[in-house]
Amino acid sequence: MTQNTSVTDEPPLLEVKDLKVEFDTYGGSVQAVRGVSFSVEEGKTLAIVGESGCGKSVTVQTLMGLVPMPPGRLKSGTATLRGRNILGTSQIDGQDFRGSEIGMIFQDPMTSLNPTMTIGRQIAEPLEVHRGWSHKKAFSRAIELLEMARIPEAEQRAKQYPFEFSGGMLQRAMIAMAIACEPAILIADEPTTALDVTIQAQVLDLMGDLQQDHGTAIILITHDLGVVARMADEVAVMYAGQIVERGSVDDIFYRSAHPYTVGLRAAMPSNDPSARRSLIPIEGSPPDLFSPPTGCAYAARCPYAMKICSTSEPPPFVVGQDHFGKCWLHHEEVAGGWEKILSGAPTLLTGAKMARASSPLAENKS
Amino acid sequence: MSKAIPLVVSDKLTKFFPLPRGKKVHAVDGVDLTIHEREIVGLVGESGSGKTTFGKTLIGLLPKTDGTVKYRGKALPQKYGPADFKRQAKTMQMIFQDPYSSLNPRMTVEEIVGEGLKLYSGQSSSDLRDTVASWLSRVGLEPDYMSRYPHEFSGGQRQRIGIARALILEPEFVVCDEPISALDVSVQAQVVNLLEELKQSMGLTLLFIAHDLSMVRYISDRMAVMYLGALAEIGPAHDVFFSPKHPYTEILIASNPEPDPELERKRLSTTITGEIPSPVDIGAGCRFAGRCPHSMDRCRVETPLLKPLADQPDRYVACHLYN
Repeated sequence: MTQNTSVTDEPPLLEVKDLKVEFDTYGGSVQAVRGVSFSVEEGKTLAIVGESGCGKSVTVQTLMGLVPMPPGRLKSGTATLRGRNILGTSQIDGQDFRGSEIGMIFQDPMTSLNPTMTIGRQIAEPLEVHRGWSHKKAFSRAIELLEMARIPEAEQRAKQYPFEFSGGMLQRAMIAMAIACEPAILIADEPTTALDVTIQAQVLDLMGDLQQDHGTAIILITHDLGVVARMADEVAVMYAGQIVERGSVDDIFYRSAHPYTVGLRAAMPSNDPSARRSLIPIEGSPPDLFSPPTGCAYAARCPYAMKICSTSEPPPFVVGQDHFGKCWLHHEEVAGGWEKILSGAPTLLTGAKMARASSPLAENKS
Repeated sequence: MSKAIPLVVSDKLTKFFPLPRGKKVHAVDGVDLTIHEREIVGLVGESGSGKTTFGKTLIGLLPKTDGTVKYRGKALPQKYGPADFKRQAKTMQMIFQDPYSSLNPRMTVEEIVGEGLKLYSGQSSSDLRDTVASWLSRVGLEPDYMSRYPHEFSGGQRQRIGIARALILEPEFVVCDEPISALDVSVQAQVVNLLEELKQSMGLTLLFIAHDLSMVRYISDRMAVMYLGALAEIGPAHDVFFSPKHPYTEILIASNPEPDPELERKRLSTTITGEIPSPVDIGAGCRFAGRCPHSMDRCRVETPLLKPLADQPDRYVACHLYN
């Protein structure tokens, strides 16, 4: 099953197909990633959105070879960087691609840096490893990179240790490290979750500027829809180890094609000064990934669930250019169809609960 | 808000933490705040601005360095003794930020939720069990969960346990310290709705500490903005959010990303330079002067006081631009 809706002649910068990752535990195997496919284009930002435990971090950590195997197990899937395989290896043509072609920054800057090395040395290290630069040359480049990351007094700061930096400065130093070798892709795993909004704005601005200057593609993992709206070109919404909706950022926010995406938005306060609506939580909790449900993983929490939803998994229905939603409501035989249920803003924002009682679909389709 | 009765009043409330060599952390520095009956006051600010310390000092979990807290007009002691805790436990409670570390892993849910009742109500153990069961169902948990331990619950469920524990003595005033920041978006809405519902049914007064500005605007009647241990601005939540007055509030709200791509594309870069300074060496003048785009000479020498705006008497701003 392919979820890729775009057709191009050149191989995309990064293409992931049908990635499945499991973890063996004493309680059985957890199916953390269950068939994820996506591609990333040069200079664009793909945001992977989802709640904790939906498999977004495992997906990118698998690409970077950071998932210990065992207990992790790659069940299926391919991932190619400009047409060359990167899964199950750390090398392309005898070179480690990690750090040189794909850079990564992590959620918690306090624990992701080595406390016994100076910041400057840590930034210089990838240049020494990947480019064979001398100690001195790499260190002076590290100072430039710190300046680029808008760290004041970079020369003195480069000689300091992580404990002498604040959280926001550490995150910027980590970005400097990740882009030291000018990678084509920067993976940012919840880069601003640990930061205050003012510092978050600084870090997001920095990432945006670097992308403009260097044409870096960014894979941004986050659960914050505000950050998504600000940064993303493309969005993949993940739920229970699968991408349930994928589209442009406007598709996701203005033409949502999956009840989970709709539910996430309805659960957040909107800052429309004229609207005073109450929050509609998504009832229940995500499914147990030891034994994922047979049908749609979201069916148990979905106010629009039909009979078929609990028995067979929906395919990705293409609803627009490069936009799909894995939901049976897009099936042509569903009376009423998706538009009728979710197109109107009042339904989108306030109707989830009422729709459960009055939906003609409740027992309509089997 | 028409006939608002002050419930909790802090007057120049101050909390310093001592450091070696006579230095001290000015965590909360002379905060005046009046919280009225059945009101939700949202308290926002960056980490390190003293929000949590203020909440804890307000309800007596930390002794005060200076200033007073009055509850229904009666001054509360500077440092709580066992009798004070016993008396205040029935009127003031707290819901903590981290549902993972604020529940004792070796106690069952029944022991956690019922502990306050056991200590302060003198109910018989079977009555106690019934009360715990009814509270569990009131916060949306199965009463059968009583004999389970905290590790068996998800984050949202644990936060519900924390809420039941805080409310079982039916307090009037509850400090909610970032009750939702550790939770996923879909679960946040569950907990916020639960708090609103309980506020309605019990007539609670809440101090809602958070850094999620959209959520604070949504839930609060009034919003207070704290910076480096002092209040920068306070006023009706809607007004403060949509027309902030203090330059810090303006920047804080402008930094808040909106879940709307079109709005975000129109956003002008309002990034503030620098970070919150150390609360140890606080000189004269406005605390925000070093980062403020509008700072004047006066800001560096004279500390601005929290004063009502001339045209909007329910809004208070501590900034020389408005005096």
